[in-house]
Amino acid sequence: MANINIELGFILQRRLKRKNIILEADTVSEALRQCQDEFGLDLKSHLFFLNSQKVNIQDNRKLQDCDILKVISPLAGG
Amino acid sequence: MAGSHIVIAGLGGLGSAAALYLAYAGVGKLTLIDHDNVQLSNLNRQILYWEEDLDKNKTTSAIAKLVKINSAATYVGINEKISAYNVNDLIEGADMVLDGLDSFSSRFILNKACYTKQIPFIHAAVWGMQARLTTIIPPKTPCLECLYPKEIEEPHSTPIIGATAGLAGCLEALEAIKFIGKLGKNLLGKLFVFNFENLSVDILKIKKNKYCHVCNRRYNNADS
Repeated sequence: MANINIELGFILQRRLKRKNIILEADTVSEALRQCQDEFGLDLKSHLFFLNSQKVNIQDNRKLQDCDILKVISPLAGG
Repeated sequence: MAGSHIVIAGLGGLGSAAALYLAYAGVGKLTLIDHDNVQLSNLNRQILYWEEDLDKNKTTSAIAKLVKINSAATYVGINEKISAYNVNDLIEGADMVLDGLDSFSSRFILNKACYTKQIPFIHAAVWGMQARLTTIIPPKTPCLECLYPKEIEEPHSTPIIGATAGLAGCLEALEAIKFIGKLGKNLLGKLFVFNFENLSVDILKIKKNKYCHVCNRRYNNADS
């Protein structure tokens, strides 16, 4: 199990009223599933980056304590 | 620059700023696509339109300003909504396409057409004081559908702080000028994430999605 710091993008920070989520997880997909279950994060509508590299919600990459998982919201306006 | 043809899809806050700077830069031909008329709520950010343009169509109003900046350029205004039926004709002959749209459904149509025709495509989007930007060079870089899943829930397109759209539109113009002029490095395989509210910038790496319906050849072949 790794202690993971999930950094929320600015829009999510406002919605969830917190800057980050810290949780224990083995893999990217497990960490994101926890975010969905415990914090109501809509996984279909966000982008996920592990150490600045895009990952998807099925990603089973092993996580380490120093990893940073960033979640950002897509924007539509022009 | 004088020999180049750039298409700007959407003449809102992004497209207005990008069109101005591309006209100033001396682009030879600008094709401007937008089906809307100017509304009062546009005037906080769509800097090609003034109060006198209210209710007039955007392309005509925009071209009236742009010819006063650079009369040597050719301007083509198209008052049509981008769809799967007209998109190929709309971008025909372009050296580059700029995204000034306000929905993912239209962006995905444009992305697919640009990929099929192998036309470089600059994606930008804004909301509030946030902005995103990436440059897509088919088939070299990931495309828009590699980045955003097609089933994405359409986010709200407003409110937008005008200066945010202006900055992002200027960056789109800059990416186009760099590409056409072979200057510097473009934002390839990277997503710029700007938060102007606290002045933070992230540069995030994106890779081709092996399941992408648009740019994965094996997947496309299986599809057809």
